[in-house]
Amino acid sequence: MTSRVHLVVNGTPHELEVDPSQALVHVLRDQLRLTGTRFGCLTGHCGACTVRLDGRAVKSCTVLAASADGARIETIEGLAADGTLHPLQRAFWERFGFQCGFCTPGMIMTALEILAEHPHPDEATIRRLLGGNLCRCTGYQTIVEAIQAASEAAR
Amino acid sequence: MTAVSYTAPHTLDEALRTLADLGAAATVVAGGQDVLPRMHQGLLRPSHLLDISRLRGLTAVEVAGDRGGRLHVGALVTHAALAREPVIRAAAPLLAEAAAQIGGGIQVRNRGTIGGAAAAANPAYDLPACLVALDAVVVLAGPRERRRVSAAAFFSGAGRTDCRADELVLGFEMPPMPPRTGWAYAKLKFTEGGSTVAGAACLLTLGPDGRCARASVVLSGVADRPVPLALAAERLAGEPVTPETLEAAAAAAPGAVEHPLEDVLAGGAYRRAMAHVMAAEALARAAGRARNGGGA
Repeated sequence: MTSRVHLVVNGTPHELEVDPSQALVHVLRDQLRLTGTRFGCLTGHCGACTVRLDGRAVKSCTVLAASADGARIETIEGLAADGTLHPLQRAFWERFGFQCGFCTPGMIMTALEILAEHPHPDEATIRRLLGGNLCRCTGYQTIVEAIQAASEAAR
Repeated sequence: MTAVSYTAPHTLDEALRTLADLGAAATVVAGGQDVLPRMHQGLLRPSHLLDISRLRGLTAVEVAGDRGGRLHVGALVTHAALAREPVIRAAAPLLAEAAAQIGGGIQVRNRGTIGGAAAAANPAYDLPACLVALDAVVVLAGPRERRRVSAAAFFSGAGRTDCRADELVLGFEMPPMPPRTGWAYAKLKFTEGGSTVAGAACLLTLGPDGRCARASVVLSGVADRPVPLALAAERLAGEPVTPETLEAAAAAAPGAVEHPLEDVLAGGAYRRAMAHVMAAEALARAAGRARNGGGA
């Protein structure tokens, strides 16, 4: 049995047939070839698969694709416009907010929500709200700095 | 891999019919924060997924004037909504404080629901102990009737509740907090996103004489179900609220944990000791808030 789902991903509508037990991350990566969204742990811990679903950050390994029917999904691929990096992407680039880069898409998608809710967060707020994203290189210092730099750039 | 079937009904009647037909063969999923990780780990192999996230009417948060000001919280209310809803923050600030501390990050709080946290009955979850401390009632719908079960009786073990295979959790009802009631949820975790090692939910009400009229302390994360500290409540009732009486109450914690959880995070003796520390912290903060007039 498959389920038919309608997803609007980065502004583009898609009609897809999905296995009902499939997580959204697999549909994004395997069917839509949007491999910027990573799957790391598949247990909801690491946050590498973070995307926005109807404007809210979610871990796409813990969302059934079937359950996302009708939703608007934003992935890392949707942030740059006409070849221009999103201010958060630019800040991560300029501040070296990544080492191996595996966690970066999830970090940036979570940071979008942090800055939407707290336009000028202090360091403690950033660290608290990034609690659902792990960087195995432990490069948190520059990740936090990049998010602060992006918030400063928006002032 | 066996094919999994899936339904996402819009009405409670349809959902209950599916449960009546399939019973335990149906896996109920809402936000997915408990079910999906367990599926990925192979701990849960559903044959039918009953997605209740589209059911109407289960996201309500309201204070019912006609039922003595009782607070009703629908099962599909997310942790993020609990943390920011003004109605919750006013009527049950303990829930808001605990929901904001749920691990896994904002992503988990955006999807996870109070109904899911209760139905999953994972001992590491934070909300069950709060529901017990708040004297909440769990509202269940079955094929023939609705029934109400006290939160204290609802949780019967790790992953076990009083919810039958053909029933759904619809929501929770809580009595209004009396005036001069303070609250606190104290929680020990090793990382910001990590799981609860020991926690304590506390409500403390001062009488007009400034003495403790009523205290309720319930531990989370230390045993297979929430552990109410009856002895702590007894030791405080009618007493002046001082550092000494609060400490005497918190000291009831280790002895109340008969069979402490032992896992990779912590051994039983450590959990008992931390239960004491968390109970002391929750009592102190709740007492401070009660002195400042509380939430009511």
